[in-house]
Amino acid sequence: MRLHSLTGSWMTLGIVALLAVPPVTAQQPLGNLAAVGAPKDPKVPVMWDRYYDHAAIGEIGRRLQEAHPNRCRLGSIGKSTEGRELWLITVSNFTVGDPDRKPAMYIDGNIHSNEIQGTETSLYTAWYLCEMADQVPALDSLLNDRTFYIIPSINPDGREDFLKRPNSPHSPRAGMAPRDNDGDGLIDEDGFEDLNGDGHITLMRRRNPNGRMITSPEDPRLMVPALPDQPGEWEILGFEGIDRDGDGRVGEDGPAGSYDPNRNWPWRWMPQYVQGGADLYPTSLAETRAVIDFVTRHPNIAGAQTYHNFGGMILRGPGMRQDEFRPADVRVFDRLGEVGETILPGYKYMVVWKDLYTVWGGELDWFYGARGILTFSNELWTPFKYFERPPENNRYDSPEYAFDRLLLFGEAIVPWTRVQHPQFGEVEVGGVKKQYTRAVPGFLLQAENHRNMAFTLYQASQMPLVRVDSVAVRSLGQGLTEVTAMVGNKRLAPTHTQQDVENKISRPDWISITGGEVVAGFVVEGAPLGTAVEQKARPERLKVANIPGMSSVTVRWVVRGNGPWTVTADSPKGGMDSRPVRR
Amino acid sequence: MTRWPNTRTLACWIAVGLLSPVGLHSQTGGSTPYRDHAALLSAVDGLRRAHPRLIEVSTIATSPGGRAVPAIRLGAGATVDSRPALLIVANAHGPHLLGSAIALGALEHLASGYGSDTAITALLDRTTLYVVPRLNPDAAEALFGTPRWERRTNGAPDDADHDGATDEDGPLDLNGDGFITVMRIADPAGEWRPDSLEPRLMRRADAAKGETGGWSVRTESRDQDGDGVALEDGPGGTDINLNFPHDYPWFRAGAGLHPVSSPEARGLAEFVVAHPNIAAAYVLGPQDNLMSPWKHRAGSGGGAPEGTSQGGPYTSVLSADEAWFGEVSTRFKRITGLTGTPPAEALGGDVLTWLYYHMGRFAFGSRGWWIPDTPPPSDSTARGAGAARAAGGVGGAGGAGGAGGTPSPDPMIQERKTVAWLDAHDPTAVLPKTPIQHPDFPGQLVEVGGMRPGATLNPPAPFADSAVTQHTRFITELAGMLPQVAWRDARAESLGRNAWRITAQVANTGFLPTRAAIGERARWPRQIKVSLTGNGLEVAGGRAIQLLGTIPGSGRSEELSWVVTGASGTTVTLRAESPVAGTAVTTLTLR
Repeated sequence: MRLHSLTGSWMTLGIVALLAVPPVTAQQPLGNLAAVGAPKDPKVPVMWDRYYDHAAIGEIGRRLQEAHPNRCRLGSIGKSTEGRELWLITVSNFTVGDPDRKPAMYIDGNIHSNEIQGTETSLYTAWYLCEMADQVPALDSLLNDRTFYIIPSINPDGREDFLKRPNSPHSPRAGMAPRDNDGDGLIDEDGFEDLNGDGHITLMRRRNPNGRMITSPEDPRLMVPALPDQPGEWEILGFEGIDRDGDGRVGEDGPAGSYDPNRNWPWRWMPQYVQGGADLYPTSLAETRAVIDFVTRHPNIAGAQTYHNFGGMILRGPGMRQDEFRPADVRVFDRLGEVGETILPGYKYMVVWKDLYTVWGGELDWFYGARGILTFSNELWTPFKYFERPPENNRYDSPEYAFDRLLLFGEAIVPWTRVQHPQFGEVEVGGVKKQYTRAVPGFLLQAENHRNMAFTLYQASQMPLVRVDSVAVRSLGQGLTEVTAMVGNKRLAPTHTQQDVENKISRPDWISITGGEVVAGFVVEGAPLGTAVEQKARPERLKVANIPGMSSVTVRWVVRGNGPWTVTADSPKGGMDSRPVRR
Repeated sequence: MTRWPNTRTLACWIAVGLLSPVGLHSQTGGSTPYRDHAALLSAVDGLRRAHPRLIEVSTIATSPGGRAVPAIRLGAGATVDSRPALLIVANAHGPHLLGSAIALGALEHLASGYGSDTAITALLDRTTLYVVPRLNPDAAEALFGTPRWERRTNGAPDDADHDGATDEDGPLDLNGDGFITVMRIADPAGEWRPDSLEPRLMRRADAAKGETGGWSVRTESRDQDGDGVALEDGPGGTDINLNFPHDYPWFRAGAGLHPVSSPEARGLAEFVVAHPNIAAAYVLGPQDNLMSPWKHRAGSGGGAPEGTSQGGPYTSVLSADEAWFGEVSTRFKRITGLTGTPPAEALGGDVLTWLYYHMGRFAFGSRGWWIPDTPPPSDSTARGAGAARAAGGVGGAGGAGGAGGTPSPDPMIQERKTVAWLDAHDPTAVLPKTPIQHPDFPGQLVEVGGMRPGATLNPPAPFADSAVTQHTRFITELAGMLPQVAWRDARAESLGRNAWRITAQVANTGFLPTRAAIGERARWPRQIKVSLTGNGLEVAGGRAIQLLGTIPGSGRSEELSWVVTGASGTTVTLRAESPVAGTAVTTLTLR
């Protein structure tokens, strides 16, 4: 459903909403007991059983901003190749602190055009935080301390193509930048064709006694391989298409397979022959550049999540065996991943190159490698979810066909229909609709959104958080005072990852004192009875390379005067905190 | 050292010699081939106006300092952008002004020779040159400003020391001589001492031999932001010749935020992508593969072959391409008469390796000029081979002493030869040491001196002029080595009853293959597209449209055949086209 303007859409929303029961003001409210895990009375009713187009994403962001001006802002980080806004929804408590100085969680989705539900999970996160912060104290405090930068789709051109044009569940993966896939000098001249006009790109098959596929006895819509000694019935001709450029290949040069936006990132980017889909050069895509620019300008981003589909994975880098994540950081990833597997039944915490496949120039590796940001990529939805158990191996059936028969009543798969093909003669067209197998069925989408959000909020809660824990004052005589401060990081993640520290990516934490002349300043190493190491230049602002998770640093000054003084901890990724102190 | 051009090109060279000094910005008062940004743009514009039918100028980027990066297209006729082209890129390394001088000199020579010189006329009728004379204008400009210094980075502000201020602690001209050079500080703990044979040079004392130093050596500056360190946050920015993606040096000072993060690098990348007809490239800069041609080394892919997903990137030239680099190197030495081994800068992040490894082009690189009779370094491929010069204390503003790199057995041999050569040919290049009062070192003897910035890269006019002559000859010859497709032996054979077999060979009559082996892997340049068309023809065997693999040069060919049905008397058109090897069309009649 498309969302129209605010006034025009109440009625439509109300009628549809009767089934999902969000109370609607335009009609008599329906009496209810609110379930836990859902807003009692959402100011912006949104149905979470469908996939929203580009205009709707912006409209939901705009409505959230209007309804929750102190919590939500709609902006844009730039424009896509075809000129669409790359919507940014910033969520925080704007009445407490500067959102760009709070430790921030970056969330995006839909880098692959056909991997659409990351957008809904991102949008749901913005909606849930805005609507629930008054209802749930933990979320209210999360928004006091943290900022969420949410970009529901970093590939709106591809999303629009997937939603609005005929496609398969697997097309397009690329965005819409024009490319000559087959090297013949022509661009996008031979893409898929919707031969039966049903809005889906499904398979073509042709009756052929020498084909090696047969119709499954369990489900006439399903083809399975014939036994080695069994005659076949069908020959598979690929996805619907016509050889438009006369090169003997079908569908080899459309927008679908031209490049992979998730291989275009500069960290260990490799050319086409090492990494298929890498595109022309690192950051050759407008969308890649916009995200890099945004993230680089927001050094407060301490954690990131980039949602994909599918497979039920909580992925971290590196993408290739030649790279190495630093051991202190791996310990943090491991703990987050462990909790994630509990939050997300059927999901596994995995390392991209070791447990999946090799990826050069992937987005999550750029976030960690180049910016030192702890980043996950969840692969949303898994065949585990069809029957809440690991899928069984059945020669004549498949879980998605069985699920379609038993729970979707046959809606998700197009039955075979006859079509006259200009090159192949009589063929049959049929198979899985584009919004099935990779995208989540409507009635399960909200749950999938919620569980993945819960994991990401857990990560956000474990981003560093610095606090000036204690300040002790001791008189040294002759008008001199020794001030000793302990600054703690109350969370799992460090203020600087090891990758960040070793490559000096973000500036050090600064612990400063104001209120009097500073004679000398020291960072105490090996506390409690540690050695005070002097910082001669600018002793009033001591530089600390890192405050590891669940630990603290001790600093000391010798100051002249009577105070009062203020000790301030200022960490690019751990936030700011101040504490006044008197003699 | 140089061979003079033959008499036919000599006339052109005299003409060039008359033209070049006109309107030049002068560095030293005399005539100079080196142009600042304004002079370079005006020279380019002058060329365009003098040769409006041969030259078109575009801007491929604007530097963070606001300077346009021009690209000049040179070629005659209407198909300039769809026929084999040679790309020339110069001055990505900021202080390398000689590269710009060579690029513009060659352009001027070829443009003026069109119409009068038959060889040049034929070349420009068949081939296109794209010339980017100065890819790093912000850095180059530092050799024209006050003070003058060897800057590598562009004008993008940068907070290198993470103190919240950008570019606040760079080099300073403390002795007011107009140059950023080197200062030595009398310091009992210092690791440096004057060279015994050439006391104007400093060298690192060898503590293991009981040598004491007595001096510390730093680039001319002081601690301007009071953080206890000098020079840790100088002007800019990104070194364009470190900002390309092959073997990119992540996190190295000057390398930029990521590969292709600078507008200049991105401008060149987009330009090369937009010009699939670029068959080969000539890069003037610190990287060389013409005096020391690239050698293939056995892969280090960790069990998997290099150039694959598992094996990762190539780390040396593909073995199938090695012979071509070897032969072009031989021709380069013969054509230019150059000898010796120029000081080689490490590969990685540079323009030259990117053009070969990522863009799949035959790419050749030369420094253009170097102090003659430089002995070969012990390992010409070693990273940081340039460290010896910095360690000599006579380099430009490269930071305080270079600790990295493996020292050659006696780096001072080369240093002394450099000084001796400069004394003889460029007497103002070695500057006298002058004492100064230095605020960071009160009460200590501090002397400033060293070498005039750019002196080892950009020689005085007579030497620069002969370098322009030498490299123009090479550029002209290289442009003549590009691949060229041609049809050979096309014939139709009747199979009876309107059935015909057509056979023909697609030949490459140029010198270079239609693609380097790296190009086959990189998927560009594009393949040769062959089509067969004719009224009412049905193609029964073979393909009406097909893409061919690589055809090596020097007349090698690939044979194609088709079986078609059609009426006798039908005209069949065979067309072979490749952006890098041109278009060839032949027709035959079925009978």
